[in-house]
Amino acid sequence: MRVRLLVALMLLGVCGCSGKKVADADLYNVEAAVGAGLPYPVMEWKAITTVVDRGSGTTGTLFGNDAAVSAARAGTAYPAGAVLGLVTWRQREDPHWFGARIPGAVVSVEFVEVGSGKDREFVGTPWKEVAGSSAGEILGMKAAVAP
Amino acid sequence: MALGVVAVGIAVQAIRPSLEKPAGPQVEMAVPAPVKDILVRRCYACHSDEPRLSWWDHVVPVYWVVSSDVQRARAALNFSELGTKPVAAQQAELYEAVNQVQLGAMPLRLYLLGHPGSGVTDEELATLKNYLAPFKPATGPSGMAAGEAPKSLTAPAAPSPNGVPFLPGYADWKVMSTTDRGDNHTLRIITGNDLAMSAIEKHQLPSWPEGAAFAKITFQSVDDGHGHIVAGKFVQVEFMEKHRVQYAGTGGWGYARFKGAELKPYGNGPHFDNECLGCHEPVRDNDYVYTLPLPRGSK
Repeated sequence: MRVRLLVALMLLGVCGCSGKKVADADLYNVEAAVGAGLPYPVMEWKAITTVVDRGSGTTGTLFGNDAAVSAARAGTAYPAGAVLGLVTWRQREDPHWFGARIPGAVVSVEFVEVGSGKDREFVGTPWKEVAGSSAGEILGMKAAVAP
Repeated sequence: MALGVVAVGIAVQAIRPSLEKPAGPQVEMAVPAPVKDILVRRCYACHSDEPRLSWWDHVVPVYWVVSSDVQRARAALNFSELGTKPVAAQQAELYEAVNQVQLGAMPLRLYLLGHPGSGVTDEELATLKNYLAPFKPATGPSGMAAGEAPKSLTAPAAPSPNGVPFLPGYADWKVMSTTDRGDNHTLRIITGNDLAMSAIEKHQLPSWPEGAAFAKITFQSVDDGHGHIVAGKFVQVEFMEKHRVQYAGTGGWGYARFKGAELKPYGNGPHFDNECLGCHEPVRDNDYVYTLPLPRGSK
């Protein structure tokens, strides 16, 4: 009797498990969204590299327009017209993988324009422009190069 | 009639696949006693050379299910033999085990039905996590400085052994996310092709469209000793590509991994990707995708 019950339960277990509705926050990294209204479409750009600062618990991804990406990957000097954009997020634990950290809320987005020398940083919601402070660091970041 | 059923019922009991100890060398992983106790109590019943079966597990047809499960469990992860692997691989297996538990994929639902109360408790999971401690120490010099950029190859020598192609141009795809992996000291950039990006923008997840593809690009973490971590040497690139019919045997996704600057295809034989599938099974509800993409569009 017990075996029959178990087999019946097992069949139930096999059949009764599909079509679950998944919450938005478990499909997209909602809290890490980069808001609209920046001067450049940074999330449409290619990535140059990614960095982490353990002290501040942040992670950054350096993006660039095509001129910047080509120069960074080739290891040559940035030409006039190259624009770099560093998006910095507070890190959070990856809910899907113990041992991983992923982007959490956005801290800042900083653009460095080569040629004009402009360094513009954006913080807060909605974006508020402040004087950029990391141009030297951003220009010195090396590309993560993949074959 | 009833007698016949009973006779057949008894006769089939003789059809018993063996769960004898396999011939392989038996070396367990070196872990502290409290960790070992948990593994023995919660995992060894299936994931070891010493399966522990209840009396009802021995009754056919339950025994057929149980013995096939134990064989598959051992093939995926066998704690009696794990110690024969390199230490990094042992750690990776333990991380995967913890994540399977955390995501509710292990122990199997069927197993829990037949063995109530045998699940891993919150305290036990915490003990395992504290032992692994992926981000401790928080910082310290590690990794090799980014060496010379790998020579630009257009393609690896061969496709993945399961036939999944290398997808050139992956580094130029848009960014889905990044991850900082304390478990294996790497940084990853996850990119997606235009079909994938458009699905995110149109808010279609978890229904990834035909042809959507992702690349997970992995670099060594290089720590300057003060907690500033940059991407070092290229480790590998992994792909997932959606084709429902072509990859029907692996949940509609083709999986591939190409290692090192020479992009060496990973895996032995056409079915190596069972390994990929096993690890991705816990995120079935996300269409087997672990990455939580950064939102796109005006949403």
